[in-house]
Amino acid sequence: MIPNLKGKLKTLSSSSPSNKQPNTSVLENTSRNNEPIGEESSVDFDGQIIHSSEGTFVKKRSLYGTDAYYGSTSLTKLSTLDFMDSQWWTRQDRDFTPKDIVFLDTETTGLSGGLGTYAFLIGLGFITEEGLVVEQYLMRDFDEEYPMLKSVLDILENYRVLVTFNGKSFDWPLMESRLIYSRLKPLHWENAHLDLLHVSRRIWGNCLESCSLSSIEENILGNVRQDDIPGFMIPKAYLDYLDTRETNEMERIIRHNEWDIAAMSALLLQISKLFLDPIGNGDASELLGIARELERNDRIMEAAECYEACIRSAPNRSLKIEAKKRIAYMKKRHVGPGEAMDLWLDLADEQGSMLLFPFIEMAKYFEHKSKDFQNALDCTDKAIQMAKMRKTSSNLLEDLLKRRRRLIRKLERRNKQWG
Amino acid sequence: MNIDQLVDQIRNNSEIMRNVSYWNEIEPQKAKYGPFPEALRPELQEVLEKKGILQLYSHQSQSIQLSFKGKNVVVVTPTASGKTLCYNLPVVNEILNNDDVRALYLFPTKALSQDQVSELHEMLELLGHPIKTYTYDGDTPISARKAIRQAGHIVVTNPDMLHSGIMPHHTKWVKLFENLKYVVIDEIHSYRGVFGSHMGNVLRRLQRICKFYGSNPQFICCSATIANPQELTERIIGQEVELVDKNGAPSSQKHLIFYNPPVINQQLGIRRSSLLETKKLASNFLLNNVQTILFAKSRLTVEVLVTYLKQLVKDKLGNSNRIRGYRGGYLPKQRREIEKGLRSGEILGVVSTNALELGVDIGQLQVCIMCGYPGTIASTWQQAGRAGRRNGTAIAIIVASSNPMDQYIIQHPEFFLEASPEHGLINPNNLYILMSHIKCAAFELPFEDGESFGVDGTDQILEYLEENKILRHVGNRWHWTAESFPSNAISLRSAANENFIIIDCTLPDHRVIGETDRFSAPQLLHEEAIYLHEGIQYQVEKLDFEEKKAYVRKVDVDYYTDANLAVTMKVLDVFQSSDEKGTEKSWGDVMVTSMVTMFKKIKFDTHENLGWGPVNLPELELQTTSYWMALSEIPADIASQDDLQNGLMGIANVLGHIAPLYLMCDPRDIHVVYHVKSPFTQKPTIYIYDSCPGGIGFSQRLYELHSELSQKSLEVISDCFCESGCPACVGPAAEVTDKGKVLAQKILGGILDDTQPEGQAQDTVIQLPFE
Repeated sequence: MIPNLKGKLKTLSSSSPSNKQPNTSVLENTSRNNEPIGEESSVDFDGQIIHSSEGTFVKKRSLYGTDAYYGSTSLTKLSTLDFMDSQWWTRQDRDFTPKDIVFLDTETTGLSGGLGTYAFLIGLGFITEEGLVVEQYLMRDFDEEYPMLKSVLDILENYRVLVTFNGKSFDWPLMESRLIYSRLKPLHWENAHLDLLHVSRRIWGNCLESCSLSSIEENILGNVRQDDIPGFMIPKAYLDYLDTRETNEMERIIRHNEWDIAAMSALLLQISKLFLDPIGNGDASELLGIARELERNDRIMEAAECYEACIRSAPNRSLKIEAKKRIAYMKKRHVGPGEAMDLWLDLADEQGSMLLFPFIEMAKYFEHKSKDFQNALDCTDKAIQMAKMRKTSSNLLEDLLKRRRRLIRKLERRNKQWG
Repeated sequence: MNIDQLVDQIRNNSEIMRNVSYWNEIEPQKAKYGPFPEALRPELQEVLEKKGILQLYSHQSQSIQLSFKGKNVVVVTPTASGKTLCYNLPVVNEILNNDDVRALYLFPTKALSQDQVSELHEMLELLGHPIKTYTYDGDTPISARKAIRQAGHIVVTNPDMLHSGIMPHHTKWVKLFENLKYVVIDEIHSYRGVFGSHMGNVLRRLQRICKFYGSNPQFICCSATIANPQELTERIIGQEVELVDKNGAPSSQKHLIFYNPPVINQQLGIRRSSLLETKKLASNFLLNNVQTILFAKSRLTVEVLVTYLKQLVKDKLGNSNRIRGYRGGYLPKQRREIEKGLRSGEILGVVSTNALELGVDIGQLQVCIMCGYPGTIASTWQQAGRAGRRNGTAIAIIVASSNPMDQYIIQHPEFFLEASPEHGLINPNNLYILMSHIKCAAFELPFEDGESFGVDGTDQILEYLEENKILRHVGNRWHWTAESFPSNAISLRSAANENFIIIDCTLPDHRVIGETDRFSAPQLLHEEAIYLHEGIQYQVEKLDFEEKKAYVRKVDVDYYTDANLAVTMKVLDVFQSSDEKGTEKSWGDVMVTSMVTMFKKIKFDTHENLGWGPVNLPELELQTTSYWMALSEIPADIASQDDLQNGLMGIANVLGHIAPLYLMCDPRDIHVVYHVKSPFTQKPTIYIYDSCPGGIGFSQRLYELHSELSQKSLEVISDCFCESGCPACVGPAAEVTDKGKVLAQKILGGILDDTQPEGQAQDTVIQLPFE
């Protein structure tokens, strides 16, 4: 707990409300109370101070023109982005156009949520003819929250699709909380909320160690931020700003938020390009991710094409094997067990890879489909041999031994029948 | 033999009857009925009929009518008197009237809420109306939580979950808070002391949030019998409440037996151990296959008794699992399993701390043996109520220990049967506790200027928090301005939320077997201590004080350990002080520094001292409130410093056991120390302080009880049969010397000699914080 709490509480309890003599600290407080932002009220962080009937806040507008780049990603094509036939990956219930989109990213006073966490900076992004417009709404103190939220809500109501990065579990629930607390009617995006984090995980989850925005920026968008404030330091920096009115760190926060919005737009561009023409735009590991997403959405032919393209361009064997495995299982499920046999054989032949599953799958096929028990037994024996060498889980080995016993029984029975 | 035969057998056994100081046959009570309230919907009445309830007991009828009138109610009822209908009927009725209506049920433990939900489900099933009732606690799957928040008509939870899982996220519970019509608080008497003081603040927060959403819920509360159910409830909910305490439920015949173990050494005033007597009495029932519950007052006694009784049934039945222990340190899963075993009859005997005193459903037991007076009249009735919940003869036996409280009760059954002097005490304005909840409240909703958190001086605390950069005053509001999430750091169960966990390292796979609070850790878990869990002995190998972990290993030894505590005391502030005849009584803030210095090894059965060892652990500081009495002068007939010391020690011993009689607390909740010359008063002084940081109201009450306490202490000493001091009064002569008893009487006599009636004493009010 706080050191010398006792002494402080004593001072507290010794002054009963009736005979309270304001001391200096109380005086300071009073002066701050009357004019919350005091002499700093003119601070606008290069934005504009908005005076609404509810109060003041700061609004800052920036433009990323049609010739702008974010890292190595050109933002030129933002306004012509095509979301035709995109429902399967955007999880939207209907198609939309770039001008329906609003990007949103918040900076907050805490990371653990709950009502004591405020969104003190709300960044919005819109795709216009001129390019990407970033509008940032900042409360310079707690009493600016309501007017700020009200303006943000007025804007949001004009858009149909919300795009965030991790907004489904963080930014939007927090916004909802703040709106309800402020007795403003919260919007319900339901399906119309596209969380790029989820999409990114599906595409890059297997090749990036982390799917954080900064990792994606570095590895996919080719951007390394200079002098960026790390996200975890932001709550403390804002609370310090309230205390000291020192603007340096606030400027870094505002820039960080603006970058987040721009990065999201570049990311959306990148992702839709990939989904629109995976083979033309994706590298091998992206193709694998997209193929899986296609498969999950029952777009089997397209998925197969992407898997094949991945196999063709895979820079290393593990990726190639993974794609072959996926396509084999997909064929087995959607086309028929026989169709996958070539691939199992192919995978079994992979030099030095010691893969168990192709032998198991072939054994299954030989046993149950083609009733070729001898071949099934050979495959099983090979798998058992490998399982023993690889010290695989005892369950798997147990299953294999069971299969082996069964196959021997079947073979014996057949031999008897044939006399 | 069946239970009635066993009763006769005891009656005819002079060996036992010699030690029975009192036998009370409580005649069966006939039911008293009251009308169905008019506002009760016919379909509910039908459901009751289907369940075989054709009439309401008078207390149910009265309570439900008051709820219908919009009043807050507290119903005081013994175990198994149908109290759940007192809240389920008004709540369900109201939901049937208006589907938007919401109710919140609060139970002190998770186990209780599970029981109540299943009972409610049963009723709703008969009703066939989709009223959604959900338990929302730490065990609720994340996936189910959203639906509960939006659709649950009745949300059943515990104060801890409300405090840290619901209120800090109140915007997710809009539906509940906007439409909250009833708040049900069951077992409200269990919210005493620290827990109760927290609860008072949790409810201040709850009502603040309700006000924000425009609701103003009514309260329906249930309490066991205590002296001040109405006052306690009003302090907890911060509103006026109607009292319903005329029980209309029938009860079975019950034998309440006071058993005092025989004196085995008149000179030393030693009685046979209550533990061994309990074992003997219990054996008779257990060997006759009569399901028996034993209550013991400490974890240690529970474990020792389990060990003894397991031994007993193992000999005869070849299986010791029919005897189980049950106490706070066990893990939840283990406890559920034991509860189930009791209901099914698989478990024949259970030894419990007061953990099983509350309404956990363990079915019907026939015999209850209390090893030592449970400490309060309320607890005694609750524990005795565990035997014979519905019908048939039941036996409840109190086996007195040698401590003065037990001896007083066993020799003065009228005190037990006629009076109910125990008050549920809470102090929601304990500065530590209050401050914690003002933080949580500010996190949930900013305070407005002039807003009071149910206590004068709220604004000063807000200012204090602003100085500490936890709140920020802007506009006319106080906003939370820290990164942290305050309720996570605040436990409602203790003032200091720092539990030690106990890890068994006997096997290569280490596992956690229990936990204990910070202030008990040095005493229970010092290195070389024998820690007992489920009757198994463990020795503490290493206590990692920094990491709050104790590593223990199974051992098999014939002794247990008992640690000595060294205490120093400093007065920080005096709140009230007044001169009485011969003494000055006061209460105020103190700082207590305590340290465990050594421990003793004590042999099972004979309880002889086998040796000792040193303990090297840091001092613990405790700032709390204390009552103290300073002798104005040393009585003329006290000849020496030594005599004075021995006399004071004797009085301190008695007070430590007598005071809890009035405070409805565990003897461990207070501590008594004496100074021959106190550095603060410069006089011979005895202090009684709260064990909880910040104090929870005991000191002020003791200050008020000053004269009565001295009077009762003198009675205890004078009435005691011993010659020169025994554990039942001033303590064994070996401690206080053979003059100890006389000396204590002389000192108390000096205080009580023509004492002025309480009212005439002049109170000098120095200062009373937040009252």
